[in-house]
Amino acid sequence: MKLLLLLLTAVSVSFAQAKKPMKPAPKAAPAQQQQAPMHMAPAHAAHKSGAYSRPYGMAGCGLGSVVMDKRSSQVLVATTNGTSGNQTFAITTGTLNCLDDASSQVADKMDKYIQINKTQLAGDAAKGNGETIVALSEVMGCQSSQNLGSALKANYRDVFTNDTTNEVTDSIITVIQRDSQLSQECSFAQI
Amino acid sequence: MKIAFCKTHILCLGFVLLCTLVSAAGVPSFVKKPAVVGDVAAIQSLVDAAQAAKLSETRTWRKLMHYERNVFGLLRSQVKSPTFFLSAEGDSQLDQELQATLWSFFGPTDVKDEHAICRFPARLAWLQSKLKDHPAWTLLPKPTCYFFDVFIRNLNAESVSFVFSSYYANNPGSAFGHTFFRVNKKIKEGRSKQELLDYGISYAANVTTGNPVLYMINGLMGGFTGTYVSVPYYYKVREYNDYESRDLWSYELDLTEAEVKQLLNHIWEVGPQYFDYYFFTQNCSYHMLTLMEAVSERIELSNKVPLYVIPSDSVKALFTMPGFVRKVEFRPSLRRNFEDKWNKFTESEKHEFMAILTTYSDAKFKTIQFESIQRKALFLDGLIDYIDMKDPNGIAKHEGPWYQMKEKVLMSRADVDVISEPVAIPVPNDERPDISHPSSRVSLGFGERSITGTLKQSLGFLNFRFAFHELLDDSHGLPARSQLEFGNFKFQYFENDLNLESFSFFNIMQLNPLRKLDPKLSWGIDVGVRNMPLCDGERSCLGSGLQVFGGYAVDWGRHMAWVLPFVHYRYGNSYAITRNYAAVGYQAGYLLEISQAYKLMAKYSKEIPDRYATVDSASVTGRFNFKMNQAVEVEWLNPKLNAPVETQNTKLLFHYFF
Repeated sequence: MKLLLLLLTAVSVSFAQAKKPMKPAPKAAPAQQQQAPMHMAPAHAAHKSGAYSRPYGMAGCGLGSVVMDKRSSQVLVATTNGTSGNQTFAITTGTLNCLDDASSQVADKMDKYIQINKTQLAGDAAKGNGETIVALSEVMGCQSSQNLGSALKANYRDVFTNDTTNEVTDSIITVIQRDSQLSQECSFAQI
Repeated sequence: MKIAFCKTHILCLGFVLLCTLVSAAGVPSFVKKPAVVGDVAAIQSLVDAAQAAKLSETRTWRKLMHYERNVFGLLRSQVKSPTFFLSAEGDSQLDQELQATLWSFFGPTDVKDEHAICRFPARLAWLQSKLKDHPAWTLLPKPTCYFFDVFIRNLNAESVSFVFSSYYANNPGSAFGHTFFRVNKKIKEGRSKQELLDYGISYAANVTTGNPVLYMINGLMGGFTGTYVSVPYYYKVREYNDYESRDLWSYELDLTEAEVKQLLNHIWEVGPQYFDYYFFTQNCSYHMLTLMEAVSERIELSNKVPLYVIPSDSVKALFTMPGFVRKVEFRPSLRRNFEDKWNKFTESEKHEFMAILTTYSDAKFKTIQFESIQRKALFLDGLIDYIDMKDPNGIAKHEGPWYQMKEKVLMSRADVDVISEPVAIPVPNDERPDISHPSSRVSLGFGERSITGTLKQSLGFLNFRFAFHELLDDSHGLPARSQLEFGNFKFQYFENDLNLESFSFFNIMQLNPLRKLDPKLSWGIDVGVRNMPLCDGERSCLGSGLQVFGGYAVDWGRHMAWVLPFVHYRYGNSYAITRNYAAVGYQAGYLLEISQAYKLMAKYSKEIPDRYATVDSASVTGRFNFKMNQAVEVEWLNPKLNAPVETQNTKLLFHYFF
């Protein structure tokens, strides 16, 4: 009964979150969505218009989206898939949202990491260094964190004045792609 | 189902007895043989071999099934969800469940992830190791365990650490601390360890009420379900380290590769299941210990902790197994990070810091003169930490004045061309939770009551406290400025009578010495039974009620002083007299900590009741915690300074912690 309640709350919250992106995706052309997520939108596209295509839609695959509890702002992971307990446990453990698609798991991993660590990451970006940047460089598959830190510091205003997590992720990716050295260093592959 | 029902709800004794009889009579265990692929005779011989070896009676099988004796002394599984069991009476019949498990391993594989091999990898691994050379294993089907594989792949485990999140008095559920596992990822070559990307596995109650009374009743009686949760470790860091500003202590466990694997297997088995959550007994710490016990015969932990499992006790239990803790790591809280920077500020920087907090603006910031660009960066870094600490809620929700201020500060910081160096904060080794004193305490003592004009009277004292810490106790590994006592009984022996003097259900005192930057209220609450002016004469009459404190504390060096105004209400009913007692007053106190073990405390309090005479009382107490588990206390007390007949008590107490 309690589980059901929790589940219902989770469903309603993530549905509320999902509402916006579930509209016919205006930002990315369908053709682009079909492409492998590793494939970036052309660099000349404004970075705020979804440089990184997410085949699962902006709010995650619908399963296991990250939900911020509005009441306590305590970070919670809720999952909307209640069919199997084991699946639930796996989803919260990993990024299983887009099951077989390894590359969208990477995308999802980045979004979750950035969403939960946003406060600390913004601080570290302003400082040009810090634990969250080192870990981010791993999530982004970069060889080292130094250049990433400097680049985020230099582009602080562009990246962190964005509202949504996905926009922040996209901006970071744009920063990496525009930087000739960083684009060599970061593979976006899961490390 | 009936048996499960009567285990959790005591409705009437007769029904319970009936249940007991039914289960004791032992319904002959029929194991329904599920459809299997392969040679039924071979599988039957495997089942027979398991029965011949009496595997279902072994400790590991019991632990894998989470069987423990319940309050009626019956061996039952603590797992409450039926999906954990493959047989109808799997929660009470170990053998039946073992047989059903073996049969299920050979079931058809079209159910994929729902196959027993996918769902119960720890049972499989253990049974295979126990019946190693049995030919039937060659017939074992190979289902695709997609979800389990992803789980294991994501964890990519190298080792496991037991993590203790330090005390957090602002939430009753966290006041004793919290424990969970961190699964340490394998580190790729040429890479450094990134804790943030590890996984945290914890056990917590699914709290379904905001009502504190219901919370307490459900928490004590097992009214909430408890489940395991697995999330990336950065969730834990952000929640505990930053949002709640708590230090994290990790104890890396000396588990072999096979044991780590089996631990994860078992976590996978119980991950989707639920238990009944008991705040004091079967809590987050207890169910971390039981997980480890299921992994290996050599691990014995849950019998090393008292019935009431306090998180720090579970950390200490790790040390009862020699060499079981490989290393201890410390992760400082946001507050500690801030204080580290603050302590590096010059006096004028501190002054500027205070001044700019009230009305931050870029223009105002630009007027501050810094010695160097590095000092400017440090100043802003301190400011960032301070804002995060000041309003974690607003920052997380992106709202409020602190958040707006932070946005400006961050931009200013991004413009300062200095890359901050990582800071190493020294490990506060005397705060390690594993070195704290044991939490239960029994005390024995004698004393004298001298009443002016009459004879001196001799008194005896006997006290018992379930948990956990008071201001005078040794503060190694514990917050020195707070007190959290639970279940504290005080008896007094006088003229061949042992009387209950007081019982404190819980007694919390949180002294927050005033800081210029972070002025916080000090507060306290004492709920329980105590003497009250109810009966006439010498009889001890008890009333139940509560006393709530709120005020301020200051400290300088080893000294601390406080003034706490309070309200006091008590209700007593004795010998046909019923009385309410209400009072207001204040307590003034002083504590000298000569060291973490030697302390001196003086208290004075004035209490003004609604219809009785004002009561002034004073006491001075000296405490010598000469060993981690032994202490001597001397106390002088005058309970009524302004009474016409002067009474003075002197006491000598011996405390033993266990």
